[in-house]
Amino acid sequence: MKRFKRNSILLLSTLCVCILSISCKRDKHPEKMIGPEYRNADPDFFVVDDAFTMSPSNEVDLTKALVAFDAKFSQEVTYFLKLSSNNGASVNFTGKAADLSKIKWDGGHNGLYFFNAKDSVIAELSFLGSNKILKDTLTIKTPKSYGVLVNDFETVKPAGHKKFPASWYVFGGEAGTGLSGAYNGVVSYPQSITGVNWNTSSVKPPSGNNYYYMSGLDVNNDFYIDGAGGIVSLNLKTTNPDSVYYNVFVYGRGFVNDKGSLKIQENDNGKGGIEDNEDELFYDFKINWTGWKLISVKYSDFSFTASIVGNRIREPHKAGKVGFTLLSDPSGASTQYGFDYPIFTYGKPLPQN
Amino acid sequence: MITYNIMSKKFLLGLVIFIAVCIQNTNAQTVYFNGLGRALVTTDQLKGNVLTIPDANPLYQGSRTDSVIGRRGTGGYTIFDLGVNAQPNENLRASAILRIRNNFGGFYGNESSVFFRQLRIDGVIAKIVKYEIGDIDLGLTPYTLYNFDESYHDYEADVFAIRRSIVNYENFNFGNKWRMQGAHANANFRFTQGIEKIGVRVFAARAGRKDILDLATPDRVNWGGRLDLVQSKFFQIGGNYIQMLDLTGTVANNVYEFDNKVATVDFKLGYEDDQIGAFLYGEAGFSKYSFFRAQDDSTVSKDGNFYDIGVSGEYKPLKVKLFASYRNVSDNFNSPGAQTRRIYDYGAPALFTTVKEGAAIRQPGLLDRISEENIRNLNIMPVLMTYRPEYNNITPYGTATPNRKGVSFGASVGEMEKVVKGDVKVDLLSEVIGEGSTDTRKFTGVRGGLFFNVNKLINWERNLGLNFGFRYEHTKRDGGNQIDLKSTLIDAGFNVEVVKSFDIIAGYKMLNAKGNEYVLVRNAYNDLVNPVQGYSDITAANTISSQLFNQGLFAAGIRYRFTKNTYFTGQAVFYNNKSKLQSTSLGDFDYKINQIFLNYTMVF
Repeated sequence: MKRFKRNSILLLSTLCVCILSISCKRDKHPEKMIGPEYRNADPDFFVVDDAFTMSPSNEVDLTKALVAFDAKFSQEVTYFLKLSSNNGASVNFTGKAADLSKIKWDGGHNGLYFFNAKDSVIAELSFLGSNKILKDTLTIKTPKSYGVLVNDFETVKPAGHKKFPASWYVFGGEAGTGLSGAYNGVVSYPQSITGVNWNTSSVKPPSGNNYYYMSGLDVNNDFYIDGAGGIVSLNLKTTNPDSVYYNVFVYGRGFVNDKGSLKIQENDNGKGGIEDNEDELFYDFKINWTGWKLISVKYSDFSFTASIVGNRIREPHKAGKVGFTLLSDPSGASTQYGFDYPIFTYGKPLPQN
Repeated sequence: MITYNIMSKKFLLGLVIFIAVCIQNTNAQTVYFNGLGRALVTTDQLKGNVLTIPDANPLYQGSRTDSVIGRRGTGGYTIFDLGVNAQPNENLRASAILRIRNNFGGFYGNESSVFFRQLRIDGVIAKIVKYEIGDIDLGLTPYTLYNFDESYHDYEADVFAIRRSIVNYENFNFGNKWRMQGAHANANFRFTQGIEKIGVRVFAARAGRKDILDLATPDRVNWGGRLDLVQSKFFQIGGNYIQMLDLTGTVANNVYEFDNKVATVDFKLGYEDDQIGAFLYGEAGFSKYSFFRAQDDSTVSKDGNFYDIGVSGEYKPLKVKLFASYRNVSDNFNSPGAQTRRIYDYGAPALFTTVKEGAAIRQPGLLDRISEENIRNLNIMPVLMTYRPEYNNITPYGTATPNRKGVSFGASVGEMEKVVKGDVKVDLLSEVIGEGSTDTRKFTGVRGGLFFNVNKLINWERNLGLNFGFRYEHTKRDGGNQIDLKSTLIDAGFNVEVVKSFDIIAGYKMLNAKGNEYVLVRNAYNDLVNPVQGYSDITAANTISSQLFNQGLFAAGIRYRFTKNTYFTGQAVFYNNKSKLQSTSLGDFDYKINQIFLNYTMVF
């Protein structure tokens, strides 16, 4: 017992000395500050000639050009530059400078909504400690490309009373049975769909005004309700499944049975088209959230469909067909979800803004 | 609707079984009950310029009256918390608190709810190890796991303390502990020679609420413990450890991997007898932070540290204590359990949530901070939460506020059972390193107050008490971005027992803040980032929505004490909130709230 007590004191004393010595080491900050340096506008602050412009500003192709900003200030000051579109997209820049020469906009965005083609963008420039606000506008011809976009559902063709992307088809299931509450097609915000328990008029998609929506009842209790997809020309430029992410925004209603699945089929034999003995990959996900959420899945995290016997090699460069299915888990329920902007990205997932 | 009915039937069935088991066990004398019942009603009126909106339309002569927001409202609820404790033997106890709630205006089951507020099992193993499992309250030291108060209120009037106690109860703010869900065990080993006692504690608990349907966010837990050695009343030393981390594998894809470790040592060394006491005390430690976020595909790591050492002296015959301490907390010291705020300064209050025809959220003020149940935070947060400088700019994240160094000293006299109890504390702190500037902020804080039990002075058998409290803060920074913010908080109140157990209670609370300050936003990695939000008494773009505060809160009423913990109170409350905040499109935001507050609380 004495030894135990002695050892306990020794242990605690050693611990005390170690922690005290670590605690006395101070953090090193070569810049002698933390956080971004900021600067208040002086009372006599002004913007030279009150001039604030963007270039280019008309029919901007953001896949080819960056947008530059021109404004010169009477002093170094912390500025706030906010670009916002008529469709709800926005992006913010801030910093401390005497002009805006270092700011270049590549078409990216903060928040959920993307800048789209034909958007009108207002840039608003303001300053810390000043009431001065300057504005300029531009229009977008082509939005920024984040990767290989599968479909933005903005260009659709009518199919009966529904709309589909070109070359897409429905897989067949309960969503196409015409039962009340069943739907499988593109929805335009703020369109409402009669007979569907989905407040479509308030669901604005991340990109544009269209998104894909599926709903149905798992009548035969087999988990599967319906699906849709099609052959797409992806031509992914890598053979490494660890360097490709498949991203899609999914809208959920927080219902326990709602479940979806992403599918990719590969053109294993190189003949074009997709045949029965070519790999099919899938990724199932429970949709337990409410609102839009970005799902990003590494290509190598997709599983092979057991019943389809391909070469069992994940080959992103051979991906040639995509699909989305609606499931019910547990089975037998009425489920639904919406999705938008499915896109493949290289190296890392689509940014969660 | 079908699911709802099934759920209701299942719950009712469970409830019936629960009550039946309780009754059965009551007969076996292994079950005892405790609980709380409360009826609470407020009727409120909103007044002031906040109800007016500028309008360029000449038809309205430059302004119009808000036609959307209600000016009056009445709300409240009745709750009954039934605590059922089953104790088959002295080594085991299972307890549950079943809450039945009926919102004001609910009849015949509408707006009513029944749920379990708390479930816990506790007991003793082999007469040595005490354990708790379920909903438990955990705390360690002010630098490791500590639920610090949302603002200074040590000497506020009874009329406000009643309301604050309700909010604390509803949000499980019991002392400075955090309510968590997990397990906790502790054991004390006593010795006859050399060492008086060695204590060991370990715990593991969720960091906060989690939606059981959320399959995308990993489980986040806190685990840790304390080993302390008490040699005698003259020397004791302890080691503390707490780690907050995301459990990999609890979700299909690890979108986050948070990991923060804090280890500290605290000690107390000195002398004490019947007359005097003198001690050297302190705590020192370090933190290691790491956060991986898949969307950035990057991990941010940083280490921080601190030390806090002090001396104290006491002269017992006069009940006088003096103390002084010095601390240095690095800017990267990260201790979520000790730095998480219990209140959302920018939360949306349930009372008159929006103003200006719904275009703005009414910012919570003094009234909301003592009475609003829905702006409290119950989760340990991985990021330092935003705060409003006028309420506490010196230590917004408690004693463990990062980037602080300097001296604190003070004195206290008396105790609550005597004629006077009072204390004063002075903080002379500064930043360790500048935020957004090479210049550092200097903080001066003075706070204190006293309770004056007049009845004990004049030998009156009934209660007659006065209280007074104050808190003054001055933040100053020189250089290119000067800061000069002063804020004053004053408390005053009295309670008089005019008839046996029947009190007249009244109190006044005032907060005034003037000057400017800059508040920087933090990102997911707890780094300070833009946008910078100015905090100024000038009307300027990019200044946050609180400038030149002047808040006054007065309340007066009666209280009848049936027993020590059972009482009825009725109060008239008058709250005034003025600021220089003004918007071109919305006008100014000055407002008043008048309120009648009725509350019956029964504890058994």
